[in-house]
Amino acid sequence: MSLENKLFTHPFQKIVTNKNGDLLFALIKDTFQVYSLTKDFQKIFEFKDSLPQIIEKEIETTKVDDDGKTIKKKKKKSSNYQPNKHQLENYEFLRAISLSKNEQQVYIISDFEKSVIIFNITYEEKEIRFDFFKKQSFPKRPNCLTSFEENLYIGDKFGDVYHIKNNDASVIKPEEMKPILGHVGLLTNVEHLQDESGKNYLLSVDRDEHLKLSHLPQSFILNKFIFGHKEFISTLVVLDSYLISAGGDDFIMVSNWKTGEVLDKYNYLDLIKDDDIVEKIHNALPRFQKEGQDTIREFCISQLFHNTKDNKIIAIIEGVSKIFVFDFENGKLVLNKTTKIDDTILSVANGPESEEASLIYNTNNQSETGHLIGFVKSDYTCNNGKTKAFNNALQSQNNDFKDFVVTNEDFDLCPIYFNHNLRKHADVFP
Amino acid sequence: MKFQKTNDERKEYRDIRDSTRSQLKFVKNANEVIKSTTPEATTKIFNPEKVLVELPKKRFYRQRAHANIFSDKSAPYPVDPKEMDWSKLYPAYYDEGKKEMTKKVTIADIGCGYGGLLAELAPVFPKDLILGMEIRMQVTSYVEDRIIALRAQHSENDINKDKKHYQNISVLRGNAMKFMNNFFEKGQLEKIFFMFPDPCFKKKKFKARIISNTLLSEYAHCLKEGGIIYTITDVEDLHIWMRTHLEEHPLFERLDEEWEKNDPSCQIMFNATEEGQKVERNKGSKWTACFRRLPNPEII
Repeated sequence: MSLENKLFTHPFQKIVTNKNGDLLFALIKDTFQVYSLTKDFQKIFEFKDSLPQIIEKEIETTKVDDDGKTIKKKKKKSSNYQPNKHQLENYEFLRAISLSKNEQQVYIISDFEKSVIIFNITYEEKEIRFDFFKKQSFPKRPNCLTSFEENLYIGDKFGDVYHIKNNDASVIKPEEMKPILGHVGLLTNVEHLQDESGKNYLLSVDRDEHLKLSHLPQSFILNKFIFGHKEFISTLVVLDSYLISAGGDDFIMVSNWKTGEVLDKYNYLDLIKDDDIVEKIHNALPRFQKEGQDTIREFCISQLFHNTKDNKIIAIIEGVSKIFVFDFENGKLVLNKTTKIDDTILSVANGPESEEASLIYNTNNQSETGHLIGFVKSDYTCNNGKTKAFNNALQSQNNDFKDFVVTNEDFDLCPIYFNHNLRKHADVFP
Repeated sequence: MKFQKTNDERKEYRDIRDSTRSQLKFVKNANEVIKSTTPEATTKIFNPEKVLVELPKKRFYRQRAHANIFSDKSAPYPVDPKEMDWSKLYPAYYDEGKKEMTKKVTIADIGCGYGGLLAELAPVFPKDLILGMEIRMQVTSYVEDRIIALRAQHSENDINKDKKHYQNISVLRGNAMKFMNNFFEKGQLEKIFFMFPDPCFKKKKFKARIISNTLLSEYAHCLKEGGIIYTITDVEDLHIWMRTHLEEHPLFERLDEEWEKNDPSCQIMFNATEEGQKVERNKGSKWTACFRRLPNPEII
């Protein structure tokens, strides 16, 4: 069904839960929402981000013409600057969300003013309070972040990584910021790592297949590159010495980040069946198709997730309505189970601590029977009852859901498929 | 029309060179290939005799001075330095029996332009493999043709006797700013040259400058302890920029004028290359700065 004919509610583009799985932190378009997953699914907090009021500079000139009439001319400040569609207000959105390890803070990457927003979370006896702490702007659009104690490391779309303190409320001017390390290419992920002797590292990941490990705080010392990927890398999971990473490649790579050794490459293309294919997402753009040959399809992994409850690795293939569950032993991935979901799944997060809901996921909400958020039981079957209850609660609490109605895909829907656009179609050395 | 004639002439010249290059590019000694070529195969397009006797003419390879280093399609690169096939670039240093290279590249000229420095360095460092990296396609082709011709003209010289043989220089098209570490292993290089880099004058373009504090960490990774970074430019602002960033970087220390005077590479860099000679002709100034790679401090 085409989007133009259907009014539908904007999906949650990103979700995160806390370790207990009783709080859901979600991003929907330009709004950050928090729901309780235990108390009747109440909405606890909401924050809508926006641009500051722009005062347009107009220069007024007065001129007397030949007839003696005064002509007032309004001139806008001359500039060649033309905002593109990504910079239009209604196209900007909240890009990513993450919780600090102690769950005292939540970090949101916002397109508005290219910033990171920090909220402090206070857990009181009867309620949970969210206090705005600061909004720090950056020279270029931030794209990913990781936190460690009081340190926050932010990677941007230009390839630079910045370091700020999360306990310092002062805001630095973007033009005065200096990167601590950098790539020449879009950063898709940064991750703080620590080895058994307590030494700290920053793993920065870019669109040019680099997994770069630098020391912290001596970020000018590069420890190593981990090679092996041939396409962009978009997601990773670190388990002790193991690094599981994936993206535009047709495999999920397992390596040892301490030695740099590649241990396994799990090819996932066989998992995708014919009826999983969504042509709009999986067909390569027409200019990459070859005439008279089979359609070229492109797949990527949009998320790898470690379920701490049963130590399983969950993989989400972009645009495929299935959850793939893997056992991970001795550096090898073995498929355990596949769960079919009604809608195209965007990502998964930790669910409440119970048999009834081990995982929680968000979808693109485009099908007739669609739902925004769903629950998966600990045996990886869908919990339809809970899913229904939660989505009903969502509807009843959001009277203003009309803010999130999508009528025009280009303008009202924030780009929820972030990853397959990262493919470069470039040459690799023979 | 004059322009029309030049264009036709250029096209013909390029066609001959292109087809000849494609056959001789990865060959150790072009003379041997030519001896085995029958006269019938020598067409107007494949004309090795001409190519080998004459060095290529620069005017047929001109290309604008700037390249977009952020472009994804700018140049190919290996997935891993271990997978890089150097035997094609340095066929004289490939051991057929053991199926491995007898030497590794230790000197890199980043943005080598027309390859003037490579040709000068080749006889000075006969025991080192020297690689030029250039992002512009036409310019890289020029250097390839130049090396084919130089190797053929000096083919009777013996590699083992440290004579001018030009088997130890090569060139490849690559984006060093993005993929330097895809070509070289940790600590592999002894010298890196940055000669007359694109000044990227606009403030907005500073990230595209080849020296920056973030990229220096990557260069330091593939440079061994005690290795040298050489910089030279005719733009004072850029000189100050490069010098300041290198001085601020904890893994580099500046070398003094006395050192520069006594270092043969620095002297060659200052006097020999095309860009340098052009500056001299125009009576411009040249600024150099050389830096030594310090050992990594103790990891905290």
